[in-house]
Amino acid sequence: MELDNVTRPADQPQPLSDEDRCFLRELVETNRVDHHGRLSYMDIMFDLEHHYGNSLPGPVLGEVARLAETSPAQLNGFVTFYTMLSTTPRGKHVIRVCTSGPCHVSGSPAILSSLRRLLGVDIGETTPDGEFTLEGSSCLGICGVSPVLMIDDDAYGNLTADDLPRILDAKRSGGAQ
Amino acid sequence: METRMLNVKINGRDYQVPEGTTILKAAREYAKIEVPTLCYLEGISEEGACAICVVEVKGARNLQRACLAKVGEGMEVWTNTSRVREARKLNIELLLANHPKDCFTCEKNQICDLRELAAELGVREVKFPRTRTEWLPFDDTSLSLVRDPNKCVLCRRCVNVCAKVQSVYAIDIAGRGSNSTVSTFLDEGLGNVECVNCGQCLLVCPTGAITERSEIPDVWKALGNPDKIVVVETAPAVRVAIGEEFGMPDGTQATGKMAAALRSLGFDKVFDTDFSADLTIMEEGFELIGRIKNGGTLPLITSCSPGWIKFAETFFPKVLDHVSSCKSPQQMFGTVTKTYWAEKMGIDPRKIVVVSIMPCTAKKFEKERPEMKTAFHHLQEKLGLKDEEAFNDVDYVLTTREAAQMIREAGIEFASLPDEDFDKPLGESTGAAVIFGATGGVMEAALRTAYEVITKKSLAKLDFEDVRGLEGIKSADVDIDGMTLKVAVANGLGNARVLMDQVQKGESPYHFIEIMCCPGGCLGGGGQPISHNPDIKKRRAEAIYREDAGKPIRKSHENPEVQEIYKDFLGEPNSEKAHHLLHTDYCDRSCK
Repeated sequence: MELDNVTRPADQPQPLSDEDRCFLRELVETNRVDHHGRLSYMDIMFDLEHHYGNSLPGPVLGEVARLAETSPAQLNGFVTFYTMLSTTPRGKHVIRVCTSGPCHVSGSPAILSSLRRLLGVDIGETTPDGEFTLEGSSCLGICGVSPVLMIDDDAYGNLTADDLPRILDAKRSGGAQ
Repeated sequence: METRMLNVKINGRDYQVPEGTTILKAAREYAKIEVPTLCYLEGISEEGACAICVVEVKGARNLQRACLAKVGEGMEVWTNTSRVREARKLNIELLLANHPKDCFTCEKNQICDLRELAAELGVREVKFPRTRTEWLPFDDTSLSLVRDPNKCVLCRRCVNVCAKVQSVYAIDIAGRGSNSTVSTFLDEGLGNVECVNCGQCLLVCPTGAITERSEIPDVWKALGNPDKIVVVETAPAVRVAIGEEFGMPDGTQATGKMAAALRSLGFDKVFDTDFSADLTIMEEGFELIGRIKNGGTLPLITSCSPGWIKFAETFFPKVLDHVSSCKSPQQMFGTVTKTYWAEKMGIDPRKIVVVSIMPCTAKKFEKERPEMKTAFHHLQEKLGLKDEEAFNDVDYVLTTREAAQMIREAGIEFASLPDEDFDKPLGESTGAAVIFGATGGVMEAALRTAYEVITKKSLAKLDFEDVRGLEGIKSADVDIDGMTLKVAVANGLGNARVLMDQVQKGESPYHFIEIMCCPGGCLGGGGQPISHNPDIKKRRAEAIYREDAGKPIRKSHENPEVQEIYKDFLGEPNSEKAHHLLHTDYCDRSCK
């Protein structure tokens, strides 16, 4: 979005549709009611990521800040603090491979390199077909079944490199585990 | 309720300090022991982010941050053990590991807290390698300020000043851990967010991470061009602060030396923004009188401070009709110079370069506003100018610091210069104009004129003490021949917000409000010399009121040159011509 740094008048066309605005207003208001007049930003962000395909578009965040009557810079601080939230576009499915110690010793480097090869992308990148974004993650809390990864909200444990094609295919075709 | 006094031992001596006191305050105020700090800014930024103020507390496992830890009964504090000294040094080294080593060329090198602390604490080597793999990009989106995040030590002073003092919240910490930076919404840059360009963040930054966008090279270039007539105007608050840059005592009135130094730099005319401050009072004073008489929108709010204007446009766009349509003195000066003065002297306005010296960084933004090309529009038809030949009313804005830098570069011995006067006619001013530099000054100047114009009587006492002083919000009832004029003055945008919330709700009891963006008014502006004296604003204000008291004329409407410009050029205050040249309008920046 090109902005004139001197004027920035209010009638600047914004890339938000009326439908977006309506959805956001409702989302914030519902959240406010659910939390007895306060707001849970984390819940709002999760809802937004689901709605906007795993990322938080800038104009959407700007509108949420305005609706929530909070500072855009502070909302930005909140969003960028949590590595699970992203302001840059991500694929349809986000793969989070645990890179913490227990998973590392039980084989996460092999899992990661296998995924790199299968998907043709590195950590932080999205496949050209827009299906998968590969990410490293800190501990997912299920070290008992290490090495582990998460795709969207599903966790996978006791992984070997051989399991990966099947898991990816299942996700691709929209099925669960 | 009486505060309990606690017995504390600091460095082996006994002190009694009130409960709730921090170790830092106990050491500094009660024991007179200096504890070094970097991120601490009393009452504004008390985060414990830098860990330079660590002290040893007997019985505590870890070193304590003196700025946060409160004293307890029987506490034994040591501020100068080898463990403490080593920890402080180590923390500085950690900060320096990723810090650019370009102190030679850094603008802030003479006033850098980080460099001073490293020297004070005896840091002689940095044991840690650089961990950041690449340099972070500059934020040069703003017309007023430039941020270099590589020099940032994440002390959060700027974040807290922006939020707590100015209530703008344009910046915050983004990211986390070692990847944290101070940033704007989505890294859009200061020029693309709510930032009002006040530069208070620059004043508190302990390193060179925030500086003004320098226009020194442009001004040198203009001065070296024989085809240009380069005219300089100086704001009221500059004269009481510029001396600090040359080692003169705080609160020195350096008006005469400043005029002499600017003349030595090669400016063709050394004029004074105070002239157009008097002009502003005429226009704004008559606007106020008009609104009161004709039942116009009240309260009327002053419009001299461009940071405040952008704040109003961003946060209070619904009540912009309360803001005076008068341009700021800087912009009035530019217009008048390129129209009235050019005509009077028979000079082609395209040859004139107007440079203004301001205590302000927001003025750099203001001069670029598209509506600030009045002289061009006024003359376009007459001179047959094409649209692409448009010129600004004010060409360059230098902060007080930049002006001082140019004087140093030219090798001028500022402190030993003989006093000189401003040039005529645009250098003539009154005491009413000088006090524009302090919070309450515009109000006082306007009252002096409004009273005499309304009552047609001479004012017995010119000093309106109620609107003077550094409190955030001041108010007064002024009796004008039986009519009570309710006025209020706010300095610092956090205070302005309080008054503006009232205005927005329709609950404001006032007729006239003065708002200045920076704490203390222009004398505390973001373009002023950076000072470590906590009383600096008081010293500068005293100098301003001394300057006012020493002026032969102290009421704007008695300025003979102002009277002449109305007689020869503008007609009456608020005339159609005056409206065309000296007034402006505002835009909604709320980005709905």
